Amino acid sequence: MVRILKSEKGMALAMALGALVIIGVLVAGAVWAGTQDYRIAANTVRQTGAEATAELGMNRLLATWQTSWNNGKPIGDTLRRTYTMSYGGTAVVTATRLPNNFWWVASEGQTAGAAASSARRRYGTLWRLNVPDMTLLGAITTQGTIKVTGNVTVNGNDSTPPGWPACGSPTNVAGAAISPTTTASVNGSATVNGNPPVLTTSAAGDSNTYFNYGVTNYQTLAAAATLTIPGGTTLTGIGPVVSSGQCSTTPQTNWGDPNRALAPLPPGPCESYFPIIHVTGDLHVSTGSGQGILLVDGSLVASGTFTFTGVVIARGSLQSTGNGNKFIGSVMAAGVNVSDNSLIAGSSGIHYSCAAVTQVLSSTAYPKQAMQRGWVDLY
Amino acid sequence: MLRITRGGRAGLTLVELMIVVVLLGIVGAGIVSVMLRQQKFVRGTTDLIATRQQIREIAAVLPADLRGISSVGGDIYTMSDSAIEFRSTFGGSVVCVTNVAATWVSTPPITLVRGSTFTSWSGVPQTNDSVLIYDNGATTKAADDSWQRYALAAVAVQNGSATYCPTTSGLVQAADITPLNKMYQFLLTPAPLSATISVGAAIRFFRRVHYRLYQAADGNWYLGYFMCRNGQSPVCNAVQPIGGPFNAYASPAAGTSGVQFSYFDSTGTALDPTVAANRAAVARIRLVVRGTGQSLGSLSGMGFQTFKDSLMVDVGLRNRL
Repeated sequence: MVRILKSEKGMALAMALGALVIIGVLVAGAVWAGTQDYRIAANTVRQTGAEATAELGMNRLLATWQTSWNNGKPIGDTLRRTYTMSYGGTAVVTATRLPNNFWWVASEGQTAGAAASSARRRYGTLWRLNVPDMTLLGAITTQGTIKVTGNVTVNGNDSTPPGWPACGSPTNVAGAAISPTTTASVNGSATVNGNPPVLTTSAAGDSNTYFNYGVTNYQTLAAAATLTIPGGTTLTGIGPVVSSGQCSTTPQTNWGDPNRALAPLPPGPCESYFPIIHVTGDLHVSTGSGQGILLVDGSLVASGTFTFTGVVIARGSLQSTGNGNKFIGSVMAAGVNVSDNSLIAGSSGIHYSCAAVTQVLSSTAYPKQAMQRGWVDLY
Repeated sequence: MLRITRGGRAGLTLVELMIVVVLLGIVGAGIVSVMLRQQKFVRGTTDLIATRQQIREIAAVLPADLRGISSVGGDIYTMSDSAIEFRSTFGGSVVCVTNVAATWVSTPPITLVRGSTFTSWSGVPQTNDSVLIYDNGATTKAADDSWQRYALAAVAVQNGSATYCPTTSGLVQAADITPLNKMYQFLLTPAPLSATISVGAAIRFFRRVHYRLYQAADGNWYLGYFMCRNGQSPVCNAVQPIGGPFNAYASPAAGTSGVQFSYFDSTGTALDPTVAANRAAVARIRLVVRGTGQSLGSLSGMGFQTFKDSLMVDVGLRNRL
């Protein structure tokens, strides 16, 4: 019997397999390391996305801020908004009202995707309502000559309109504050009261008093006006307009509702509406009532039974004639032209009210980040 | 009788054996060469990844700390092209009760029914930490507002009660006030507290921190960190590496420094860090981190070389105004 050896033992296969295993291990190591690198990079991208989303959420709330929120919520109450970004991220923004015109805003940004593969980031910001720092020297402050005649009352002693929140630190001001270069004449049965009744001060002759308000100015307020009315307009029947139980802010004659419903009645829908009304020239108004900030590029003529609560600033003069005109808060007539002489006649009344001024200014202001350290990282 | 016949097969000749050996040698050398290349590739890749990771870590950590700087509020103590020292805010809250006579303030509980996040910190404030409290001033005008600075003389965790945060503050509701819902009481120094710090005033807790590129005992360059608290001994901790190794320090013009800070104002103009007045004008800080691998590697087919990578991050300061 012949046995033929047909196979030989060798090393080639073993070496090849061994080499493949080693190379495989090395490649797997490289792939693992590369995957780790990719994951770290992806995490960085997600984290950055969450940061951007959180900040975008805060900015979105700021951009869509409604002034009715300023005083529309009690201290400590929160406002919550959820914003979905175009790239899929979501920001949940919680704004809490604090005392003294402050809001605390916390924004949590989350990138899109399942919880395990998304990132979260929280930031907080302290906002302060950008309330104009107006220098209100008297019930009426004017740079031009002022004539008070008839059965007029000008009173710089502080008073609070019925149903309005009291002013924190009320002080009495002058009845009329005038520039040293002008005169105030009081005739007939007109009464001017205040501390003092008539104050002659250079501040009344300074245009900064009328047009610069610390953090803001006349132009900025006018640019942010809720209502813009062409110059030369005559308006009658100013008053709140309510539609389906909601305050309708579209009509140009709706200047809010200064007449507070007293408890137990519910507040009127337009009580929380404080418009900034900008008139691009002269304005003639009669009958009705409103509240807010009235900015008149020209002169303001009120010819009877018109009541306004808040701040009136006219670049020209104030002509209040007829019966029943009443301005509660403060009036400034800059008298930018030499001929801009103010006349308060008939049975008009101008009454200084710290409460009205404070409420109106804080209700028309938009928030901005508080000075120096408003922004903070939340953990 | 069994007879084994070798099938007529002849044995290997020396020449054949030599050829086999040579061929095996060539194949083996090829395999070893591939393996060595693979090993170097893997080592290079790992080295590159490690370098990138170190760079990324710094680029992720440092901006989070820099972002909250208030340059206009005097937060930057010193700055240079390789170091910066500043007030680092690590938490915040709001005042619920202020006791001017006893020099303490307290904060609402961390958890509130309404879901407001008044109190948040990376670590509970400790004695000797510093505090800034928003002072609304005597008037409602923004012009007299300021941040008042105090040191923490003591920190006490109190059971939730109206003593430390009543519902009249508006910040908490009755359901928030339970003994288990802890409130923090902070004893402050120096006395007296400003009388115009009111309920709802913002609080910021901060520490003085220092980041710099430095050469450690092992000869490598790292980004070092230390923190300071007045009242502790020593006031400042020893420097600790938080990232690296990075490239050695070089002047900014060289463009190779391991960690390089540049400072810009709100118009984008570069600021000279050696001018003290410029600290208040900083609106943006540019951070460049550069690293070099520790070994040779070849990823690009350009031959073996040490890998270099860098990352630039611009950080806009959020509290500039």
